[in-house]
Amino acid sequence: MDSGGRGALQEELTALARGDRAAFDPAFRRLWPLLRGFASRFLPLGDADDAAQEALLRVFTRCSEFDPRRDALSWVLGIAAWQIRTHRTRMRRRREETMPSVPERPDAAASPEAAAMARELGAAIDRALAELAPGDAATLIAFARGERPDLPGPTFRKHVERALARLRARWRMDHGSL
Amino acid sequence: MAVFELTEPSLKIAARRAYERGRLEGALWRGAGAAILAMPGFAVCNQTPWAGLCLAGFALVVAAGRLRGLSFEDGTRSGALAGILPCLLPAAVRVFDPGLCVLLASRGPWLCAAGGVAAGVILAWRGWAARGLPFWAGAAATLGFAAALGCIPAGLLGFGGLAAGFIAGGAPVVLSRKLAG
Repeated sequence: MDSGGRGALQEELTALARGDRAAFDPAFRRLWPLLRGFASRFLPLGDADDAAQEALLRVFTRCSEFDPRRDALSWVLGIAAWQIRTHRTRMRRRREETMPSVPERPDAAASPEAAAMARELGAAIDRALAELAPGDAATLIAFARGERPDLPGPTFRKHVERALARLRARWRMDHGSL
Repeated sequence: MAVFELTEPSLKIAARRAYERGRLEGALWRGAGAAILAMPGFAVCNQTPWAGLCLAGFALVVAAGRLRGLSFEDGTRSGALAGILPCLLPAAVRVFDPGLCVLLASRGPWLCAAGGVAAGVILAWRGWAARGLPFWAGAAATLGFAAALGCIPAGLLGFGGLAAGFIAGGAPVVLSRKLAG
C-alpha cells in the first residue's frame, strides 16, 4: 500500500471510529483486497479467503475502538495477523483429529518379486522393531494396524513421531540409509 | 466466527452489521459506565422514581451518543462531563456531612448553583467550536438528566440555583471568547 492509500485508510478508520457511516464504503473497498492479499501470503487460497473474511469482520467490529493516534494500517494488519494465527491453529487441530485414521495397506495381489521384497523388508523392520524399546515397538505396531490405544490423539501422535525417529536412527545404523 | 464463501455484496452487508454491532457493544458499555458513575447521585438521599428515571435517561442518552457518533456523541460527552459535578456534589458533600439528607432542602440550592457554575464553564468552553443541533441536543439531554439527578432532593430552588449557576458560569466564558475572537 502506498503512502496515499495509507493516509486514506487512516482517515477512513478515524471517521468510522467517530461514527461517520459515510466512510464505510471506501473503507470496505480498501480493506477487503488488502486483507485478502495479506492472508494469501500465509495461507492456502481457500483458507486465505476465509481468514481474510474473518479478519475483515473483526476489523469492522472493533472499528469504534480505533485510536486515531495509532497507525491504521498497523492496527488492521495486527488484527489480521491474529486472525490468521487463529485460523492456522484451527487447521492444525482439524488435521490432528483426522490423523489417527487407518493407514494404507499393501496391495494383497502383489507380484512374487514384490512379495519377496516385502517379506525381506518386513523381516528387517521386525528386527529393527525388536531392538527398539518395547513401548516404542508397541506404539508403531498399533499405528501400523490402525489401532489407537486409550490415549488422546495428539499424545498418541507424539508417541508415534518419537518412536518413528528412533526406528529411523536404528535403521540408519543397520542399513546405512532409509 | 466462521464465514465461508460469502460473495462480496453479502460480505459488505456482514461487515456493516459487524460495525453496527461493535458500536452497539461500545454504547452498552459506555451507558453502563455512565450509570455506575452517576449511581451515588441516586443512592445518596435520592432513591425516588424521578431520580431513577433521570439515572436511566442519563445512561440511555450517553449510550445513544456512542451508538450514533459524530456531533451528537461529542455533545453527550460534553454534557456528561459538565453534568457530573452537579450530579455528584450533593453525594460527595454527604460523605463529610451525614446530616445532609435532612438539610439538603436548605443547602441544596447552593450546592446546585456551584455545580451549575462548573457545568456552565465546561459546556461553554467545550461547545464553542462545536455548533449544530445534534451537539447541543446531546449536551442538553445529558446535562439535564445528570444535573437533575443531583438537584431533585433540593426541589425547585435547587433547579433555580442550577440554572443561575449555569448562566453565571457559562456567560463569562462565552463573552471572553467572543471578545478574543
